Amino acid sequence: MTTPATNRIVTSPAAVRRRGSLLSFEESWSLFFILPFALTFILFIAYPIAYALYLGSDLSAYPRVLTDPIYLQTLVNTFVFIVFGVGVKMLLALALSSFFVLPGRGVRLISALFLIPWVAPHIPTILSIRWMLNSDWGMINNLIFQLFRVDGPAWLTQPSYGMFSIITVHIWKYLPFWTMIIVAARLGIPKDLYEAAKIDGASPSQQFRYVTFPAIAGVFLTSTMLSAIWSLGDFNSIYLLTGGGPMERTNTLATMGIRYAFRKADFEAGVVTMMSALPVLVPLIVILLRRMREQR
Amino acid sequence: MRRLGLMLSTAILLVGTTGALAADLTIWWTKGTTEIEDNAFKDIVSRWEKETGKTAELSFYATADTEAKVVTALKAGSPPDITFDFSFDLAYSPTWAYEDQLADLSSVIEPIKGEFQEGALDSVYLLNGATGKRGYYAAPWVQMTPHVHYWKDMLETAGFSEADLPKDWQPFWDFWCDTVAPALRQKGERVYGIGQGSSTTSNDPYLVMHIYLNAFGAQVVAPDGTLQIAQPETRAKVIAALNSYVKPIKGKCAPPDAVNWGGADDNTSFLNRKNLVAMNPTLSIPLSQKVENPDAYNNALRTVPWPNGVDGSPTPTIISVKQILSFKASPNPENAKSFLALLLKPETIGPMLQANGGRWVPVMPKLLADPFYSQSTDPHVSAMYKQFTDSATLPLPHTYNRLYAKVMQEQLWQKAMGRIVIDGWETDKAVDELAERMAALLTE
Repeated sequence: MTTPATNRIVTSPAAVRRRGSLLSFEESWSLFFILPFALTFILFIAYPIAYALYLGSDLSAYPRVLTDPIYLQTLVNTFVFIVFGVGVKMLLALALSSFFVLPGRGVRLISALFLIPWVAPHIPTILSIRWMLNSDWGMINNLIFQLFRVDGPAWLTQPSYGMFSIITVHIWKYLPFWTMIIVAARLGIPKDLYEAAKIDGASPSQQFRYVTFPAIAGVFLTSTMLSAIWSLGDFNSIYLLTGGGPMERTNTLATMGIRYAFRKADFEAGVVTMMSALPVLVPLIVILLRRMREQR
Repeated sequence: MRRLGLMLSTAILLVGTTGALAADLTIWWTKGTTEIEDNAFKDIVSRWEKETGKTAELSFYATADTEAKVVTALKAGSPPDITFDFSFDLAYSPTWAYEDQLADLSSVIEPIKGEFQEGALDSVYLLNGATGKRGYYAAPWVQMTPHVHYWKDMLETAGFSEADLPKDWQPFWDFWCDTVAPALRQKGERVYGIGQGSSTTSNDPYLVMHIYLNAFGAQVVAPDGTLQIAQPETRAKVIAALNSYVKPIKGKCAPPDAVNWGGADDNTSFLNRKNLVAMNPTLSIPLSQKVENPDAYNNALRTVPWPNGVDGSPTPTIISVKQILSFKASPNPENAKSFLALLLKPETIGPMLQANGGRWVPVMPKLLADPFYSQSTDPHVSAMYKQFTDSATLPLPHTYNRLYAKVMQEQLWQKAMGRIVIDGWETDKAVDELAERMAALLTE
């Protein structure tokens, strides 16, 4: 079969390309417009990653990090932070979403207030909490002293309290966001599924177990993994609250890496510290990408 | 393609123009504790600009920020022309000089060598590992030592006078913890005895710990550079010094947050009267009160010598000579030297340090002999002068062994304190771990 000549694209780039030039007018402009993005990507994403991998390839940095007694403690802290920080946060988000899917103006108002910790900037909010929890002159311990004439707990300077405070602040900060994600997923569940369940005599807990959770399980799992990935890099909650102290006891990999790089001028060790999260991080990202592809 | 080329050329031209606007001299300086201090330095920078017709870009940073910024910039190959931070002499310059990263400032120092104290010059005469030779790889500009401050009015409120203060080491500290603080607590004041910091995020505990070591006669590095912390006699003295240091922390006489204080938190806590005694390098604590609260400066606050060491003799003090650095990779080395030549003239730096109220002690004998210091009637400046001139001084161990700077970088002393006060280790076990790590660092 022959193609009629009229079906051919007569305005192809090659057709408008001037003699002697490699790119057409449109191609030049397209290139010009993607140039800022491409440059930004190369400068701020590709180059730092490549440079980090280059620094991380210094094998002599590994023994320095692995023999540091603080490193093992840091790994434990990171594990505790992820398991409790993400676990408790996501379960709370799931529970609270049951309230926020309810209709009514009051619920909408409370939703708006509930979002404040997430929308408020990190530095002033977390520093305010730091001041409140300061065991020497913080509001909470001063109140305890005024009421009971005893010193309150060292909220930020006793390592276990410190980790507890860090996890609490992390949950407080990010809970609203994940709650709203789950609320959005729940609002997408067809109402007739609940009506059918009610007709079949399902109790509210059975409705949650057999209708709600199966419908949002995918979103919940994806959100949990995404939250775990982001939380591994959560520097602010720790650095602003305890600075990794006392005596390095509340560091996670994110803050420990910074400490190596900037305090000890050992960038290689800093990168190696961060890279030691990769065995957990990479599988999480792979699973996440696979799930997203399957859902598509 | 020609069009694309034109667009790229324009972009390059724009970037080039911005680059051409860069100053002739870049200075990254750690902020002072008062505006007066920063302004005094700004004036000298302006004077250099006027005298040379060149431009300078001066940026002030908080101490930890200068340190982080310089470390990063050095790694990236774009350090400033001139920089100063408190931590350089303690943690970095011996290593950077050895790694051939610092600019050789001999051409600036040699002509004015006679102006400096010998110890100050020794502290910047550093070994370059690449050439195997020593040279002046930093400019000494001021010096400091930790001081003891206390609130006299609070001591009196507790029912005591300065005459009641013991003169000897442990009785002095115990008096505040066991007698004065409890007396104030009984009156309903939520106050602690001693601001005994032990944080790894501050350099102050490192400096103060070395005074404690002096008080107990513990010399961890011999003058020939040998580490001797593991030798039985030294080890016993180190254990005793560390026990003395952590006693107020374990006994809840120090504010609980002191285990995590940043560089300025000890000042804040003391100035908020949360603890009765503070140990702090420089006169930054009293000077912060001089203008706004002259009564506190003149009457309520005291700066006193350290209590006598355990052998009954005055405790030798330690001196940290603060250094200005320029780097081999600095873009304008000649301008850096020209600026330093101006700054280090006694007639430039002398008035500047006096304008700072005496926070820093000069490293030039001529300036220290000035009546501003030597005949001062100021209660704090005179106490500081007395401490510098009357007390014996011992250099910090990194003077004997440049690798000791890594002990400071890793904050090993504070980590040992942490083992005792947080992990509940026995002091001897913590000292053994400390000695082992020190040995590893000093043999690298």
